[in-house]
Amino acid sequence: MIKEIREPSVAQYANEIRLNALSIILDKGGGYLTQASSAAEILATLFARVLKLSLEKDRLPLECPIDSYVPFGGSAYYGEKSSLGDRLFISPGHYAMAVYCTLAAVGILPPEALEAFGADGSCLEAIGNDFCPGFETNAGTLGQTISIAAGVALSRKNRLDSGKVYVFISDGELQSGQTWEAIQAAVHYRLDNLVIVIDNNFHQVEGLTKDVMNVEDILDRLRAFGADAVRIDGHNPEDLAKAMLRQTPGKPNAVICDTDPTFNMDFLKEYEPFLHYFRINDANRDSVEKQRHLLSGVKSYD
Amino acid sequence: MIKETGVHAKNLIKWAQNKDNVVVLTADLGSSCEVKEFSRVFPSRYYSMGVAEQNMVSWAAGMAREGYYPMLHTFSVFMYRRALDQIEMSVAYSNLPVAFVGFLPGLMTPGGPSHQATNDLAVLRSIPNLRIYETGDATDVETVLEEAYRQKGPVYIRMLRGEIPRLFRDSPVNKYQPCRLLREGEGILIFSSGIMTGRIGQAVEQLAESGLSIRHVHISRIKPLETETILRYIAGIKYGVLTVENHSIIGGLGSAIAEIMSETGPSLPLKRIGIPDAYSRGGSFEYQCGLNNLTADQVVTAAKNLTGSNCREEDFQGTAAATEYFDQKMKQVVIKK
Repeated sequence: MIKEIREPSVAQYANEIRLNALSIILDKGGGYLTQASSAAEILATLFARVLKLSLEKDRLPLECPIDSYVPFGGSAYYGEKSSLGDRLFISPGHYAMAVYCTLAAVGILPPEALEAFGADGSCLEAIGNDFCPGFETNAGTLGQTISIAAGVALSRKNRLDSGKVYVFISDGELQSGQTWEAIQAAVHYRLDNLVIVIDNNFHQVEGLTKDVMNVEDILDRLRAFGADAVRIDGHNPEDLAKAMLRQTPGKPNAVICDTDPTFNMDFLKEYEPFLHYFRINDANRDSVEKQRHLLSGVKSYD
Repeated sequence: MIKETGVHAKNLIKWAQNKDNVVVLTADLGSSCEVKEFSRVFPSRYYSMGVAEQNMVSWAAGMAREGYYPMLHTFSVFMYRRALDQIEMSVAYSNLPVAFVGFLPGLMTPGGPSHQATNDLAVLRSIPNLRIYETGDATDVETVLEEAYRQKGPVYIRMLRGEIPRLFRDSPVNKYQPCRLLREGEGILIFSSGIMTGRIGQAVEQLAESGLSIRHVHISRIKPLETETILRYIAGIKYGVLTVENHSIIGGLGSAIAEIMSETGPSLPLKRIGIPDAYSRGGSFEYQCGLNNLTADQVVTAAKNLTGSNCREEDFQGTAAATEYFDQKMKQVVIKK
C-alpha cells in the first residue's frame, strides 16, 4: 500500500509537490497553494537530503480517530523515534496541504490519500493538528510550535541524543512575540541541536509582509538574539542542504530561506500581493489546468 | 487553628525525590512560588524561563512529549491570562501531562487586579481534558501532587504558599480528597473551597451554636466535580445551599454547583458568596475580603436569610447587593483620596 521511499531527487520531489497541490485545489476548489509553491524545495530538500528518519515500517497508520484521545501522533508518519533520528516540526498549520503533498511525493503517503484532504472525518485536516500526518503539534495557532520544538530539543540534549530537531516556520510568525521568546530561550539553553527553517516568502494574508508588519532585517534580528543565522535562496537545493546541515556549536541554527510563492506557478503573479489563499473560479480554472499540464510534462529534473 | 509554613516547598522536594521525570519551570517567580529550595536540591531539574509565559507553556508541552512531567510554577493569573491559547493548543488539546501550579489565587495577592486570579476557574473550567484542583490547607497541598501526577494529563492547581492552615488530619493522609464532609446537618448546606473553608470555620460554628443545623462540605477538585456525591449531600437539605469561594461568583464553584442543581432538579434556593463581578483593589487579603463581601459575617447573614428568619431584603439579591456594596465601598475609597 505504501510506496517505497524513492531515490531522492529534490527537483522531482518539488515538482510533484506542486503538481499534487494543483490537483488538490482543482478538486476542492481552492486552498493554500502558494505555500506549497514557496516551500516545495525546502520540504523536498529536507526529505531528500537532510532528515534522518526511520521509515522501515511497511504500513503506516492512516485512519484517524475522532475522539480526543489520539493513540498515535502525526509524527508516526516519520517512523520510529530514536536517539539517532531527526525530528521535524511543522509550525504553520495552514501548510498542511504542502506537507501532505510532500509526504505523497516522497512515498510516505499513498497518492490516493490526498483525495481525502479536508474531507469530513479524514485525518488530513486542512489545518494541521498533532494527529495529522507530518504534524506533531496543533499548528493552527501560529508561533507556538517553535517553543514546543525547543522544549523537545532541550529534552533530547539532556538525553544526549545525536539526532536534531528541525522546526519549519513562516515569516509571518516572526511578527509574533512568542517566536522571539522561544529563540531567546533556545539561545539561553544553547540548543545547537535545534534548526529553525524559515520559509521567508514575503507574503501574508493581507499582502506583503513588509507592508503588513515589517520583519526585516531578519538576519540581523536573529543574529542579535544570538542564533547562528544564514540567509539563502530557498529554491536552491544545494544551498538549502548545506545551510540546514551546518553544525552551529552552542547556538541554534537559523536558516532564512528567501522564497517566491509564485515559483513555477507563473499564473499566480496576477494576484500579487494577495496570495495567501487561492480560490478556483470559472475564469481562472483554465490557467490552473494549463500549469498542471506544464508541470506534469517536466521530464528532466536537472 | 494550626498553621504551617513552606508546606509546598518541603513537600515537593520529598515527593519528587524518586521521580526523575519531574521538572520545574518558572517565569522568574520561583522564589515567590516556594521552589527556590527545589532549585538548590535539584538544579538540573529546574528551568528558568524568564518573564515569558507563552513560551514557557509551549516549551513544557515539548518536554512533556519527551517524557518529562513539567510543573509550571508562577502566579495563577500570569498563566491563564497571558498564555491561555498556549494552555489550550499546546497542552490541553494534546492532553499532555503538564501541571500548572498557580499561586496567589483570587484575592490572595496585595497586587490588585493585575495579580489577582479572580476568574481563572471561569476560564479554565471550560477547557476539555484539563482537571482543576483547589487546595484549602496543608494536607490538600501535600496530597494534590500525587493526585495530579496520576492523571497523566494536564492539571491546574490553585496552590497555597507561606503560612497556611492545617485543617484536615484525617486518614488516609496520603490520598487527595476531592470533596470532604466537615460537618453533618440538614438545615443549610455550605460548599466552600480553597482558603475560604478555613476562614468560615468560625462562622459555621457560630451558626451551629445559634441552633441552625449546618452541613459543611469542602470541595477541592473543581473539575470534574463529584456530581453524585454532591447530589447526595444536597439531598435532605431543608432550607438552601450556600457556596463560598475566593473567586468571581461567575464561573467558579458557585456556578458549577448551580449547574448541577439546575440540571438535576433539587428545588432549593442557592446563594453564591464570592467576588462580585467587578475589579477589586490592591491591599491586604483582609481588606480585600471586606471590600468584596467575602466575610464570615456575610456567611452568617446569608445562611440566616436562607432559613427565612432575620431576612434583610438586600442580602437576598445576590449579585446585585454585592455589587452595590462594592460600589459604595469604592466610592468611599475614592472620596477618601
